[in-house]
Amino acid sequence: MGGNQFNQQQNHEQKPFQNFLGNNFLNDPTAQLGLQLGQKAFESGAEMVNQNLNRWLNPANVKKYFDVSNSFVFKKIGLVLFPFRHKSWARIERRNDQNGKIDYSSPRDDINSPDLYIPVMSCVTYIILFAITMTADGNFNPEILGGTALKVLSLLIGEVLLMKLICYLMSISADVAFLDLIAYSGYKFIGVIVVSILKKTTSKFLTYLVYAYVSIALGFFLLRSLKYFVLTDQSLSANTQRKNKIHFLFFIALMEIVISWFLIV
Amino acid sequence: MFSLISLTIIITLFINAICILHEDRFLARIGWTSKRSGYNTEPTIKSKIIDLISATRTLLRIPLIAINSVVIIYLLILG
Repeated sequence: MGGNQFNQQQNHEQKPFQNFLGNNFLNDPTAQLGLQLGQKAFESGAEMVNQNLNRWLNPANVKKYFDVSNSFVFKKIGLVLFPFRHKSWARIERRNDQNGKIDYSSPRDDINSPDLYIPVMSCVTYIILFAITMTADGNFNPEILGGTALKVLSLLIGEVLLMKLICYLMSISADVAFLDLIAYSGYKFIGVIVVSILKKTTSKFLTYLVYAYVSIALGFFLLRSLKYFVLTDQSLSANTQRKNKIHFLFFIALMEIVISWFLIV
Repeated sequence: MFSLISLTIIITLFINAICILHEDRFLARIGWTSKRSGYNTEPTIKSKIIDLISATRTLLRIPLIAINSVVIIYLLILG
């Protein structure tokens, strides 16, 4: 009698162990059903995430923006800081063998093509510069790295959303890629870094002077580059819509200048 | 100051503001209804804004209920 009770207890204890060891686990039909359901849910979730990710951040597309060479990077930075002597600003249109669509050439061949390497690198440099400045002032804590990154990211998102909205409202052709807009928004960090470094090392007057020059250069660069997106050559020059689009270009340049003023460390 | 959460809250508030504008009571008074006087050659900016407002209203009313509830609960819990 005591032995039977003891045996029963042991059996009871052994059963949950067996369940977890997986031997008798999959034999239970409800457990199997639950497992299949979980697998299906996970797969459909992963598929949805994949679909969305491919729609917004197409990896093949994104790679095209990082296909840069050293000479391109140097020339492009020189172009952002001194755009006044550059003659031809049109992007080179290229092969359409793979998709049958007209594509723009990669940054390796075309100096006018927007890339994402320079904006990403200059954003990271700006964040590190901000952290260094905070350290030099004596109040550093590791949180500000993430905080600055979030600030830069939200500024970027806000700018791109605003530009996309205005593009829609003005019936500008809607195939201006998101990544292009992000790239053009990221070029202002080059000027911001230069002015920030000068602010720490030289006098105030020189800083303001360089800031004014960098703003003019950036505005000129943006105006020339974005002209081909915004203004199509089909409309007459006296059209009100064309005037609106020119106003829009000036507004973009002004917005970049104002934002770069706020970003200077 | 600028965090992603505050950015989403700001965007939610803006979309709320757009969806609140009632078509018959308010927009009709200003003349911002979506009357289609035939097909224009070029849609003007004003007609695009009107279309955008009505499209936002139609499309985002129901998801906005869910997003607003989430934001309210979040703000209640975290002050």
